[in-house]
Amino acid sequence: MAGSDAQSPNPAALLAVHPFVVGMEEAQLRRMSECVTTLTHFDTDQVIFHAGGVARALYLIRGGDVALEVAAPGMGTRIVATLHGGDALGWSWLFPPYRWAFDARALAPTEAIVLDGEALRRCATEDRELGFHVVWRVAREMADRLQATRLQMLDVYTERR
Amino acid sequence: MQPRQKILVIDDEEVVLDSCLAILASGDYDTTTATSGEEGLRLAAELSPDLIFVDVKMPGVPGMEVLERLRAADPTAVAVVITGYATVSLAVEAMKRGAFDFLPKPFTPDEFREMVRRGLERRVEVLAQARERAAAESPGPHPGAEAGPMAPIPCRVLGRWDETYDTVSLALDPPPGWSGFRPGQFNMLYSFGIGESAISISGDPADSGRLLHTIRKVGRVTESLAGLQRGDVLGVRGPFGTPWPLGYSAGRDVVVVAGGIGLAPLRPAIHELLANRDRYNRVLILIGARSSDDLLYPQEIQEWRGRFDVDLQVTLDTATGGWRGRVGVVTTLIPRAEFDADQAVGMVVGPEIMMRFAASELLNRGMSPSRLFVSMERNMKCGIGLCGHCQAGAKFVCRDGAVLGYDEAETLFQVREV
Repeated sequence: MAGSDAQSPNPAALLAVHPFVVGMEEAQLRRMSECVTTLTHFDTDQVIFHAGGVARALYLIRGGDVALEVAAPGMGTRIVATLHGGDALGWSWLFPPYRWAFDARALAPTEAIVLDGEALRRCATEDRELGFHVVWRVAREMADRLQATRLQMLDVYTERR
Repeated sequence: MQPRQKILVIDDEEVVLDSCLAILASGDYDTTTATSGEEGLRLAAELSPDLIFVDVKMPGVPGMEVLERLRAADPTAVAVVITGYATVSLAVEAMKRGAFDFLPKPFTPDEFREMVRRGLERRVEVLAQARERAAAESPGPHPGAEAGPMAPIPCRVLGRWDETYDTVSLALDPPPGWSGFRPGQFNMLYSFGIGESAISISGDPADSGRLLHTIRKVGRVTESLAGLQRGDVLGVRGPFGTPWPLGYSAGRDVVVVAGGIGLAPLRPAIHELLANRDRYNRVLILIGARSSDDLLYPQEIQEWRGRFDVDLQVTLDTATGGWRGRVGVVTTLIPRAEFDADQAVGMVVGPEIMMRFAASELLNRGMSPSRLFVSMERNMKCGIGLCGHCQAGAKFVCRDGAVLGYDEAETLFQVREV
């Protein structure tokens, strides 16, 4: 689901200053910027994508707050994690079957650079060095979140008697 | 005029000693050399050097033993181990025995100079911590001094309120002769007929009219303390323990990381930071809690957040759809927090697993372990280093802590039984 598209500034130029691409070389950045489709804004409570939907994009959040959620009968909606300016939202576009695993919802007005997932996969396949950089960055995000999730699962604040 | 800093180099190879002297000749230091461990130990006792380099492999007293004896004689000694047999296990062994760092041979003049710079910087920090600790140990007349340090002084409960479903705060009438406390210190609270527990003081140090403690109900003693009502009497011994290094933090960025009930021992430090805001650079307060129902002092957090000169972030481990803030463990706030890791001071309290991971994130950001402090309240019984319940090696958590430098606390984290 898309939000309202902004006319300016140039999303490819904004890509160059996003933390996700820090350390990439000029040529890789240029190639990656070809995959940028738009700069998108989401209003508070606007759904960015639903679990089970086709994962078509990588969202590089520039500002705002996004909740990753799961809804289950009898449980209501639980927020699994929140993402913020500088974070990358979504890696399901990278791996088959290209379906979102969680819902994503803007908790505050949010701005994100949208990259076409299919185009990015194609670029990464054709340019192995770019492919390495993209996959390495996604892997780093996954590792950080895996570690955070492990700590969450440990429920460290619960006092054991 | 500042006295020249003293450097002692202990190595049996004359050529190494000559090189070190040549490298340091251009600096403003008093450099002394020793060609054996015995001579080095004698000179160290005589000169009290600010920085000592010790070669590992020497005839006579080996370097590791020299290191151990230096640290035993003067815990503030800053020593760097040098050796041509650089292995990871040797480095770990040196660190365990109290080395500040490890310099493999051969080293370049720049590497040596950089080590000298860092070692002397560390010495300044260690001496500042020692001074703060000494000041804390004599905070004024002890309320229980006449009756002995193990005798609790009866105090009346002035007020009691629920903080969360399992945590309450007690406001106590300070005991006669109470001369205040320093942020980070704790009291032993005695529920008559039940037992005693170490509870950090969680109020504003400037508030001399009442003594605040926040107590989480986790056992018989704390449940009994939490069940006290206005007008009831309990016993108090204290204040005990080392304070947060607020003096040392002046002029620096301060990063406070609190997890769960860990906000209670940090609250007095936060009060002092905010009351003297102009003494510090950036102040960051990063708070984690299990859920919104577990969040301590929500009203105060709101007030702190409203200040323009504080960066305060709250994150919950778990939240329902109605929560508008961050969700994730408190450690996730650290990578993007805005502070200057080269000079910032970290103060971390929470469950030990959380403290370890928070410390790891702060170190990843480049914060020196010597500027990172944690508070441990493990297994404390007497509060004055007599009973040995909280002893680990040469340390008593109650006497040498509860606020400890991370370089000291890290070894205690690995002692499961403390």
